[in-house]
Amino acid sequence: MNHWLPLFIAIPLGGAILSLPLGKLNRKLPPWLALVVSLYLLLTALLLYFIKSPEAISVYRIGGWAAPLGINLVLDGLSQMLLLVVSLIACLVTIYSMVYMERYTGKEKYFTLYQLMLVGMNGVVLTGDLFNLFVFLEIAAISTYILVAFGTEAEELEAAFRYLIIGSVASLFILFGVGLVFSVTGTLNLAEIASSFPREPGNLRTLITVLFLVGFGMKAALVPFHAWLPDAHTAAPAPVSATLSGVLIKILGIYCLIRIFYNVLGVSPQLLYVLSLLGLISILVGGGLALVQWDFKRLLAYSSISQVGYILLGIGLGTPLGIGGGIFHLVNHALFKPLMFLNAGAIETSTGTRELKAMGGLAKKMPVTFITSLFGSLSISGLPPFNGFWSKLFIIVACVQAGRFWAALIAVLGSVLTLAYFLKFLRYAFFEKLPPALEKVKEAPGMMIGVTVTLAMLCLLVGVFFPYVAAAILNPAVLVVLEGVKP
Amino acid sequence: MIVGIVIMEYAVNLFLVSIGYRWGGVDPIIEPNIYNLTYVSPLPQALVVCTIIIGLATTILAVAMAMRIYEKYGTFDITKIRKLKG
Repeated sequence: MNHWLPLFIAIPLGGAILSLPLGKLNRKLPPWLALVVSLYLLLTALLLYFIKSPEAISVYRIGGWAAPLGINLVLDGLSQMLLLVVSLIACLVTIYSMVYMERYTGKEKYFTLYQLMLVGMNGVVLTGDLFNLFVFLEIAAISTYILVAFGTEAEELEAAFRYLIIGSVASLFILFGVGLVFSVTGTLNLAEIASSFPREPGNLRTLITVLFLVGFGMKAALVPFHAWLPDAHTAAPAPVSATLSGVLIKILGIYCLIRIFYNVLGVSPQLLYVLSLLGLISILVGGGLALVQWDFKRLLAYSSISQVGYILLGIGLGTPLGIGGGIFHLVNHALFKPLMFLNAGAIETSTGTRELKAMGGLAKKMPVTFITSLFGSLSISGLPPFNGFWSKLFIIVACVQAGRFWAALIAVLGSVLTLAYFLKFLRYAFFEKLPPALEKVKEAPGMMIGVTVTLAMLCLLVGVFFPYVAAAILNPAVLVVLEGVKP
Repeated sequence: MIVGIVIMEYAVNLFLVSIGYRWGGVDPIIEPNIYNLTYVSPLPQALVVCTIIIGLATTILAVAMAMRIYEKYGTFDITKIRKLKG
């Protein structure tokens, strides 16, 4: 079974390489190849839960070399959960892109880049080597720079260039941190660094912590470092923004922060404090800026910043309930934010505009998209019985338990803000009067609707059957993170 | 901007190489009958080769994008490339 692990990286890589020559033969083949690849990933990620207990850790040694010499792939509860989330979103987004990407030329290039992005994300999740993590991170990042610029219009290029500059600076911060860790411990294997890295505080430790915090913070778009995210999410094609916001910023940012600080370098109370503070600032600034946006993809992008703030706040509390809430919110956000972005893509396909002021009355014209948007909005604002309710409740209760009443208050306030800007989105897009220009609007194509309905159903089901999901998928992941905060 | 990124990257690469350097070290090639020598650590050098390749890809992408931006906006002045706001 350990031999399955490298396939999570090799299969999409093979798909990416094969897409280009296949696209030369027949333009219809690459999308189907991408679909087969992502379906395979989803099925194996699901199967892993049946043949292996998620608490167990399995290790694959690349080339048969043991740990200090070779690179390991490590699968534990956290990475198993994230593999499932990534494959699920990738599969649905691939189905969606088969229709959505019709408007662009060079579809085979799109699917090549998309699968390369998957290689990078799966690699980051699975690898047990610090430098290898950096390499996969760069693979995912470089392919997203190009995907953001895929439209090659003025705005797309500008956004992608900004993302590229900020992303490269972030990568260099991370690389410098990797170098410092190597110079202190003389190894790059994560498990060995964890056992040999000095625990007592010192200047070097502080420097390394700050370097990683800034580097991964830029990748995760926490508030002082968030400048690239609204532009990149707005300019990218809808399926790409769905993946960017749904999984990429979490894998490259939040997952790496968790893995490096909680499982490798160890956390201190000061670091936890900084993390939850960053989370609170992100919640407020992201929510506030989302409220004043009129381009609805930009609104969703700022909402992403705010929701990532919730995840970080939960994780930064350091209590079991807080970490559980944070991780659960990560999974939930990976379900409802792609749903909202794909809805946005459906509306854009039908109406040809992203301006909320130019829309209205779409509830009658696009009933299915209206229902799925309603589900997504309610779920993201944390109303029962949807999944977002549970995770936000956990985070707020955990804040109160930890004695941080101010944090709890800000989290509640952020939730109200979320409800406010989604009500604005629903009102201006679906109610009000139908502008004459949109009289002939039709519902989006069937495959796109199918994907959004699936995601909306998942939001509801995860909320209703929450105890089962928690027992099967969440608890093993939370246990891995909790290892790091044990005194 | 691109040149700045490239310089930063070279600085980090130089740092990585210097981690592995030992004073008076020799090439890390193991020969029979010669022991007790200080070797220069080969791992950072391998890492630097890798980062140079990544840096190459990023730089090419940045330059290509800058050229396309010049086509669209007619300028390299970043204060004038401001269609996106908010």
